[in-house]
Amino acid sequence: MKRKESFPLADDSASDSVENHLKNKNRKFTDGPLQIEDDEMRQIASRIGRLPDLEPPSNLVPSVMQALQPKKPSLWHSFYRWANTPRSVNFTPLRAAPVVLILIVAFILSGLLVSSQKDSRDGSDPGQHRVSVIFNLSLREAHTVSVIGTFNSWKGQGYEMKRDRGLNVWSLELSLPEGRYEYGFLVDGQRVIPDPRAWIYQDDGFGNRNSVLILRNKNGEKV
Amino acid sequence: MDFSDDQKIITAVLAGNKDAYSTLVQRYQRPIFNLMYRVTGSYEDALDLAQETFIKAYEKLDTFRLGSRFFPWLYTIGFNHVRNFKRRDKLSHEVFYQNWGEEPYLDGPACQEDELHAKLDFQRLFQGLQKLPVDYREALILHYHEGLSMEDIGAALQLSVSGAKMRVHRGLLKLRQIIFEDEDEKERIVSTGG
Repeated sequence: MKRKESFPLADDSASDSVENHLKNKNRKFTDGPLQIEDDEMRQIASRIGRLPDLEPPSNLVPSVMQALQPKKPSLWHSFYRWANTPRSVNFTPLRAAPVVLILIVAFILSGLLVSSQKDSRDGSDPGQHRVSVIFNLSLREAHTVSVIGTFNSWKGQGYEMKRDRGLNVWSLELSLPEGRYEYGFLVDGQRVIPDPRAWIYQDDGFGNRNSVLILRNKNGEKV
Repeated sequence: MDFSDDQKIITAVLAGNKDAYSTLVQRYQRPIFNLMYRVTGSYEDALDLAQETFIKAYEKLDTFRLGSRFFPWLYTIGFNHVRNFKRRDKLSHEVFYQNWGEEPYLDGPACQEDELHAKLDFQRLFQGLQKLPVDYREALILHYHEGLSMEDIGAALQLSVSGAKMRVHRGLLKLRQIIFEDEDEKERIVSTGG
């Protein structure tokens, strides 16, 4: 290994400006693989690569293994191994029949359950026709108006009417099961007024009148 | 160095398969044993420290982050272990490199002239490495001898990637300086006759 040249960094720093030198020097350590400037250093690096290793003693592996205790697998590792182990299942059609039957019954029952829940949310009996009806009220001096009646237990929440500001008309469209209903309009959450356009009214027993709505769907024609 | 199935082996060991660990010990015993020998200079101490490193790594295997490289992690454990040992023991550096340089690796039956030159070069390299601080020496060995990437060297020596590059580059500069200063010193002694 003969020396061929002096340290390149010392020579370079004389010719380059200090700023460029520092910039190049920093880039060397941040971008890409390490650059070696000269042959001398490359030779040293190459010889380090070819340095002979000592052969480890033959008793190293057995002595390590002898000193170890098996690890108790953690719950996570146990679960992972269990979940990751493939399994095969043998069955005959006769043995599988009860399982298939249970699955079919469960499927039907879950379907019925979903359907009944839906119906109970709608407040209608299954099989009963529903009729779409639009409530309108012309009222200028009101901030909120809701439709209340026997179909919603006289509670206005969820039955708020929307105002058409140009026409000063409050409206709400509902889909109700066929039947007879008494109703009114709750104005500003305080007073109840009957529908002035209703055909039928009924006394409520407290000196006030409720509007009456009868809904029928006769051969597709709404009454 | 082949890292490909280390993860599978570690998963098996963690699941209770102790014997699977022997594959990792066999795979990495050479670099770990040589690390210990480079630092202590004692064959017996190197054996003990290498064994203890593998046992320690086994005990701490639960803390190993699956998905990262096993060897840099193992090397960190070994390097810290031998450093603690050196702090306690205060062994002499001189003994080790003299022994290492005198190992009969290149003494074959037909020791030709080229081989003799090669041996002399290697001895100069050994002696240069002997004088190099251990942090620089290990960075050079890991990169140029074990073939580790800068990322892995950073992980093993607990440095950033740019820190690892700087360590390797400065180590190489220092080593060159040491080797040729020694050579100049010898030439000066010969030319002045003393």
